[in-house]
Amino acid sequence: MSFIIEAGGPSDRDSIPLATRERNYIPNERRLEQSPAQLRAAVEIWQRERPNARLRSITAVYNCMGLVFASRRTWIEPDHISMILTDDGYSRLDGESEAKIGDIVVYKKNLALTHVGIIIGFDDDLSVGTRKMKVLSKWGANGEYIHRIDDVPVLFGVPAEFWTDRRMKP
Amino acid sequence: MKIEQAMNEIESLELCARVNIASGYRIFLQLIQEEESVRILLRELNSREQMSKILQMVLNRISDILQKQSDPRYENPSDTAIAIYLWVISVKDLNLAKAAAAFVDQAPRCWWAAKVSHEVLSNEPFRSDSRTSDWNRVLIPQASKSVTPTIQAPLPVPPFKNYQWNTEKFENEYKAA
Repeated sequence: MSFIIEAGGPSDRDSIPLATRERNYIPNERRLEQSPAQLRAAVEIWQRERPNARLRSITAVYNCMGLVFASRRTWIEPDHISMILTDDGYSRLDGESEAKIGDIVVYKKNLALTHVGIIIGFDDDLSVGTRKMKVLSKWGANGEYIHRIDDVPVLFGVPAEFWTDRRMKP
Repeated sequence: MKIEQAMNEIESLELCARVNIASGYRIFLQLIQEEESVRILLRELNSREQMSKILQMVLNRISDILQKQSDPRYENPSDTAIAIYLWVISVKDLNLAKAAAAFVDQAPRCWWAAKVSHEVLSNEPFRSDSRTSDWNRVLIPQASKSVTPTIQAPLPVPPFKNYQWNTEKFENEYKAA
């Protein structure tokens, strides 16, 4: 019987050196790529379910946390988000109206964190006078998508928190 | 949906894609529990008469899947199915799940299955009072009629074809760990 002691920890050979600004180690694991058939199936299913989401890339190597906090290099469990946001000096915004390009949106379902993405722009719909945020996010081991903020798999729940690392003029 | 259909669904690319939008282990566990096919499997396992037969079927399925060759460049294509099967067994019979997890833990290129097996293996220790009866009940159905199965009884045919079960050794290793 072989236990991997501290999976995702510094001694795990599937992890990479990754730390917060405060130099706290961020547990992570590089996930192996999925087979082309699996990746194709994933693209097809979300093309059907979320036709307006635009696929940017498809790989299983990193997740949404890896996209936002590790430059697409590895997989980070969402449980570590509090440590990362605190150590990296993020502050929570009062709501969607305060969020700007480059800020982070956190999705929750039944109060549990499910997903995280980066705000990359806004979609104006002049006919109905609405403005929707555009988000770049990685859907688990499936694709990386550019999508409207609420155009995500139902399982992600809803955008619940907005965070920024912006520093204002001193 | 019949049990065979449910198992085919669990092993399908479609289900794999659906639950692999999970960004973390806890979310993955939530997602698999929302799958109709997984619920059917669990429901069937709730029937006392069916339980042994279905557990045996699931164990055999894990064994068959793990013996399939797959491209070493990629993750095990059955990773999600193995993880689901192992989780289902753990819900019904933790002792049996521990034995299956020890086997799954050796399988290369697994992601969710490795996480489920680690969790199962690090869960509460074997209940020595139930070990023999649990094993016999599942692995040799006729033993379920026996009132006092003993540890001296010959070990049943292993459900995993290439794996020699040694429950005593496994229990000792587990206790040591």
